[in-house]
Amino acid sequence: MKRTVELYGRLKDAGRDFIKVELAPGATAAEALRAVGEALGDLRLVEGAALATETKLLSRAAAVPSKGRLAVLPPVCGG
Amino acid sequence: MKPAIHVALRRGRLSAQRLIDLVKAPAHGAVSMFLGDVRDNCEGRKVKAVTYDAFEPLALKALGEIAAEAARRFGASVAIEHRVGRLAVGEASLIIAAGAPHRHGARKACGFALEEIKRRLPVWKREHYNGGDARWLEGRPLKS
Repeated sequence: MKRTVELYGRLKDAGRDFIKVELAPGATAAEALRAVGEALGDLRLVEGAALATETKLLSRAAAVPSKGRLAVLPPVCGG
Repeated sequence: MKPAIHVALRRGRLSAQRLIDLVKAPAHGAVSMFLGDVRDNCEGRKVKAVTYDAFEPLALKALGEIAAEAARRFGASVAIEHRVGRLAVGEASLIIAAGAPHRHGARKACGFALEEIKRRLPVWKREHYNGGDARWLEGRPLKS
């Protein structure tokens, strides 16, 4: 399935706010993160990053929900 | 009295007085506040502005959880607002206000909220330097 994944923080240095990736049904968050890194051409961009929906962070082993927003969240530094 | 909780992400300027007013109450003898400003330097470089990026739905949820937890632990009313977008030097990026019956509760609630924000708020900071370049600052990995 083709999914749109939103990009935040340093991932926006790729010059875009989102990216489309192909995910197999039942793909895990770790697999989705790797797919994003590969699509951006640099797996280092997703090191230390987490995949999230609008309501929660997904563990690396969690299945990616089939609907709803997805975002890659690199290490945070608010405040 | 049920503690008041208020959180927001704002694109316009923050008002310290507005947050103080939200946590004041007749039963509260203390208000503690943290106000974070954009400073003009970082690691020896001159900074002219900072852009804050946020995954807003999750950031609002996290702020609400942090404020509620601080209120529950310390019996305080808690108000938190964080800026998003581009801020000039001297502008406030974060304000936390905590009102409680006594100073210890207010100070602890404020400090707890600040540390939790640093640890788990999905917000990112890009510094813009006088030379015209910019960079995203290193941060802490989020834990699910």
